[in-house]
Amino acid sequence: MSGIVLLLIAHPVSAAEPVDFAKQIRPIFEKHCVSCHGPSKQKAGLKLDLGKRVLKGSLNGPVVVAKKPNESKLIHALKGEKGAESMPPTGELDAATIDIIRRWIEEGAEIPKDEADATAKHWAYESPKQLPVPDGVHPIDYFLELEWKKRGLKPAPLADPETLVRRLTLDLTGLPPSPADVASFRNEDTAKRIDALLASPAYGERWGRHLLDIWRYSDWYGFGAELRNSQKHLWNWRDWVVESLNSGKPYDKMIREMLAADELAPTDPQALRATGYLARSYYKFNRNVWLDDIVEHTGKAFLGITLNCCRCHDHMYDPLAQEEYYRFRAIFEPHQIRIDPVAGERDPEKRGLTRVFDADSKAITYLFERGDDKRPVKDKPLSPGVPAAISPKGFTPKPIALPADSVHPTLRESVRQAQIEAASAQIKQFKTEPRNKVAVMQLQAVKAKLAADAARYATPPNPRAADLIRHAVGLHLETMALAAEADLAEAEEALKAIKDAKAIEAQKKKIAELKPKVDVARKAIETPPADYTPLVPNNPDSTTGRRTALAEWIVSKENPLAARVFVNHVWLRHFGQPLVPTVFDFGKNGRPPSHPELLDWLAVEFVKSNWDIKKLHRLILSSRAYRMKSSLSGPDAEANRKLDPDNLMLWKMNPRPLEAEAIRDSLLAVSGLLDPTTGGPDLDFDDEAPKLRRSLYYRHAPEKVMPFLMAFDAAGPTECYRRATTVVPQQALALVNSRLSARAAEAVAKGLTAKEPNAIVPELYAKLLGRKPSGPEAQLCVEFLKTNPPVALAQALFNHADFSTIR
Amino acid sequence: MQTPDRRSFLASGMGFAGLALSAMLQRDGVARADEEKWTAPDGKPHFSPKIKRVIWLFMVGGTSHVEGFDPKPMLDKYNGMTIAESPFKATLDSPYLKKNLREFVPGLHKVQPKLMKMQAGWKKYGKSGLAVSDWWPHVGGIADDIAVVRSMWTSDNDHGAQLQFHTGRHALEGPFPTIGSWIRYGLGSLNDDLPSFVVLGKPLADCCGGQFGHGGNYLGPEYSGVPLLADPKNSLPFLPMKGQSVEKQLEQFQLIGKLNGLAAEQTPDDMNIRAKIKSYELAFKMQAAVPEVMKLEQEKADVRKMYGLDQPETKEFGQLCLAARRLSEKGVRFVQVYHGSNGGAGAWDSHAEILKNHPPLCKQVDQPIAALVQDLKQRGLLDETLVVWGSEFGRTPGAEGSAGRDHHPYGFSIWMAGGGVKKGVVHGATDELGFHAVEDRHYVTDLHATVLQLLGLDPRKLVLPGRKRLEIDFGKPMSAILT
Repeated sequence: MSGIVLLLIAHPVSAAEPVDFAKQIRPIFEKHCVSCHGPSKQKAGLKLDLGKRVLKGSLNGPVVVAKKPNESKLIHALKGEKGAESMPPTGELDAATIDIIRRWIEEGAEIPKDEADATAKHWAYESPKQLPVPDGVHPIDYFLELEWKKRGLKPAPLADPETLVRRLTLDLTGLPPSPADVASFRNEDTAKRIDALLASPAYGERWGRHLLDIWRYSDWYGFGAELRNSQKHLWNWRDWVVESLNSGKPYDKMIREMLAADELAPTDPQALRATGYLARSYYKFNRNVWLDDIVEHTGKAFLGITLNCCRCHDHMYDPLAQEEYYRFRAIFEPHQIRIDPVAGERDPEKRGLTRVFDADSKAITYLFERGDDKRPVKDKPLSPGVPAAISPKGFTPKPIALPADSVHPTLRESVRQAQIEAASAQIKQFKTEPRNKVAVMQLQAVKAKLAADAARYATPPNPRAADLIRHAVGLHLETMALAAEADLAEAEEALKAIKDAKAIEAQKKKIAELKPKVDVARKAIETPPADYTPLVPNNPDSTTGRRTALAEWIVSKENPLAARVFVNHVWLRHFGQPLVPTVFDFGKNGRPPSHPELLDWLAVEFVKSNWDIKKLHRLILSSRAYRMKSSLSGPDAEANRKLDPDNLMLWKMNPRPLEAEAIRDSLLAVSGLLDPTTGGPDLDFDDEAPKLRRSLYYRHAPEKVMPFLMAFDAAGPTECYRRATTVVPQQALALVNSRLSARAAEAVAKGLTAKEPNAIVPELYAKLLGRKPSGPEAQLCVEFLKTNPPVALAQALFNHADFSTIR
Repeated sequence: MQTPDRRSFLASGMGFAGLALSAMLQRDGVARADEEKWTAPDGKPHFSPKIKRVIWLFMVGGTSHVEGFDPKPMLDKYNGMTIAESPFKATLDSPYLKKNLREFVPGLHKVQPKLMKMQAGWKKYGKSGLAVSDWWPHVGGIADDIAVVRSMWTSDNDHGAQLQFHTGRHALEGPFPTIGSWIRYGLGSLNDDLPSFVVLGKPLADCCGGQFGHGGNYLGPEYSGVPLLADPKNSLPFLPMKGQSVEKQLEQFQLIGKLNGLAAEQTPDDMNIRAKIKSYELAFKMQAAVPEVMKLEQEKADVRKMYGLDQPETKEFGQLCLAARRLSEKGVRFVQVYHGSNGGAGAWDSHAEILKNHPPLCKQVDQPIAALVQDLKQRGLLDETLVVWGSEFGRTPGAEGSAGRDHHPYGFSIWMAGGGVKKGVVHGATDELGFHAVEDRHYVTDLHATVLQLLGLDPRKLVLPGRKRLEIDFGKPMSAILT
């Protein structure tokens, strides 16, 4: 989805009427002046964003003298006359524009009385308010109807049950309903069916993928085997998203965990997975790029603000200052990524828990002049902060002490176990001497270190700790000595087998080098060091609490954006069009909501429900609006189309192309090839496996997106706030020629119970399209079956528009 | 896999869906005009065309005009001086400075006041004596075949101008149908086996138009450009499997077409289904035709060499240009070729050191582009083809930082070569500094109008009921350079 947006066009000018400040003057100031004389900067103390501030003037006094344009400094500046500095500095305004301002002053420099409410405030920065809705009316239908009535639009009739159940099922699970699901559905069961679908694990997989679009999920990528972006094991975060949705975790809690689970639940590995959200922005070569990405996408995804515009300068449209960009960055400045060990795996490259933590609470943030990291403003270190214009209160970071078992990983049973398992494995591996005794001693040393760790890190520390440490040091040194002796013994043993004179010489040299090492290791036992190297590095014992404070601020009652932005995303994915078209920009340069009262009603309700996402689905899906037909003909429809060709007022449902994943998953579902296993590491593509997993479980990263999904506009892994929907011939070829489609068609054909064309056709229609064929359709298909096998018909029906469309 | 010829294909019923659909659309009023006079395009030109097809080469990021096709000796003379100190102070008082500009981010790109000398030498080429920078020697070599327009302007000083170059509308107004999609909409196909609007090279980044840069927008997705890979080894994903019977697959495609035709009757509101039906008709034929057309290895060694396929710098864009010629030769109406798309503003965006940025990029494209024009000429195709070269804007005569050039929408160059266009001419001019287009000024839609004129299309007849086109959308043909 492109970031390109519509601009509201300034009110046209008419010569006869008096000049209207709000409609004619303010837009001029906004366009040419407020970037220096506005909310974020006030050069010479002058603000030109509101009429009353224009009249108030600058530090040097008024700039406007009512009825006397020739005495008004504003006019002098605009014309660059009478010694005034010519404004704006980028070049003089055209004469007509200056003339309107002159006329406005001449006519008395009137400004609107209720200006502050009417113009200065931007809707998205005001708290949403819930307008009353009459009893017995669904709020969504109520607000939509207000607009229909105003415009003379007639709402579409309701979809038939077959269409509705397919719509609901695809919408909530990304899988088509089975023939039995369709047959058992009656319109009056809608609420019950919605509940059942929301309870299905497939719901989390479907909506998890939606959220992963917005949160820009990507498995690691780089150059060959070199990791440059994102992180290993990020699928843990993907699984957390899916599970969170399925378990009904409130949205505010999801935000808290993604931004700060390491501070809020430091010992809960399940919750820690959520911080994969932050780990995803990792970039090997440049910490600034890494943090810029976090700032940009946290702003866009959770708040619908383009804070990224402020990296180099104050925001040109919104009251966001450049300094606020860097204060926002300061929230993330201390954090780093580490991979915690998980039970049963000692190699973190193979498996581990990728999570964030505050590594350096003293990390300093500076503003970069013009965004140039070579020009930090070093005399002004910035404390963490949030944009005040959105909500000035509620951001109060406090350092948080971390529990002992987070600081000292060996206090955790799983970590201890992994250490012991690894050492025991060595004993099994080296069954013969001299290595066996090294491994046996190594295991003892590991156990001793674990015991010493447990004692020294206990609260209060165990008095025996010092002894245990000494003991562990002793065993460690003994292991080292045994290892050195083993090296030597093996080298001497090897020498016996060597015949070649040159090689003998070389081996002797090696032995000569190993001998002193044994002595050194033995000597070390006599003068042991005070402490041993830890088995697992210890972690910082506190965290700054900045990210927790950010999460609290985002979901605080005073924050006007978080709920609105999320509700808008959910709406988009139920209706095929958002209420605010610029889904990641609710600022002044974004486009206004089509139904502001509805958006606000839903946002308030969502917060009231304790950010219950499933409740939000139920609310939207229970509206009449959701159940309308998507395609209609007749005079009403024709009249509507003339009034609102793009259906902006939602007088009918929009037919929606299925997303890439849902198309592939549908193929699997109808053919029985679907392996319903959930979760786990990202998979390699393999169209030949006996059963295939749902699409979201396959590797998803730049240059690594499955080609089948690519053909259908899969989410771009670097940014995808809204899917593109193209129709290109390559999609047809993917459904006709791919191995996947061929396999699915074979499996469908194999599973047919009907034998006769007259029965095969309805069976395929029920299975693949969830409906009966019409007369002409049945006729065409039966005709086709005279010269073609059922498998060819099955595959043809995968290409039916109804297969890949939510009607 | 063989493709049955068009006649047998239509006779076998593949065309059914299209016919049924258009009849249905008329009946249900989808395509009925708001204005009584409106009729859907019949695929024929409105008047006698000079050319049949267009190859549109677009350099992403903003290519310097003063180090391109509009050298400015005054920059050398007043190097280091501010515009205000130079004899051309009046440049800053020009009404064009504000009047035509609508900033995407106000104040971000200021006038760069300190003049910077040309970073490349230049000389006169050919009989026409066309002045071309040393960074474009091969294009210099075809000077007598091209018409340079030095007086283009646009209204966005940021990279939304990429979208604007193709739609004619400022990016702040959102996406609109692009020039290629209007042509696709107005003119019938010359080859039913290939898309009639093809996109080669990496598309624009989302910041600057993304897919909308070759989109059909309200005309519907079937009028959008179809991206193809100019990779002989992998021109299309999902080709038919070995052993697949063409006849059997054709039957399957025909059934799909008919079924979707019936579905379209039921769902007149679904813009995508119309596009889908078309895409299947095309897909069937494309799966044989595209790999064939992308067999660049079929070209003779000297031709491949001419396009620079033997050199690492020129290979990639050379392949695109050669593929563009082959597609064009086969009748693709509009081939839109991108160069320099990099996921952001574009490779040509040389804010810091233009001397390091431009020469390697020019090296990548200069030879292949010149080869394309020459190759078309030697095959006798240039008379019925138009090659357009352009970029979203030029670069500032003043320095950005010490050695860069900023975005410059006030005056920049494009050039054309082909049927109906004068050869070896320069049209329009910028001022002495290369700042403002001052003679025969042309907004980007004048370029669209010129292309449409050559194709025999009247932009005012390219309208859709319910969709308002503005005066600025239509532009005016650059008649001075037309034969």
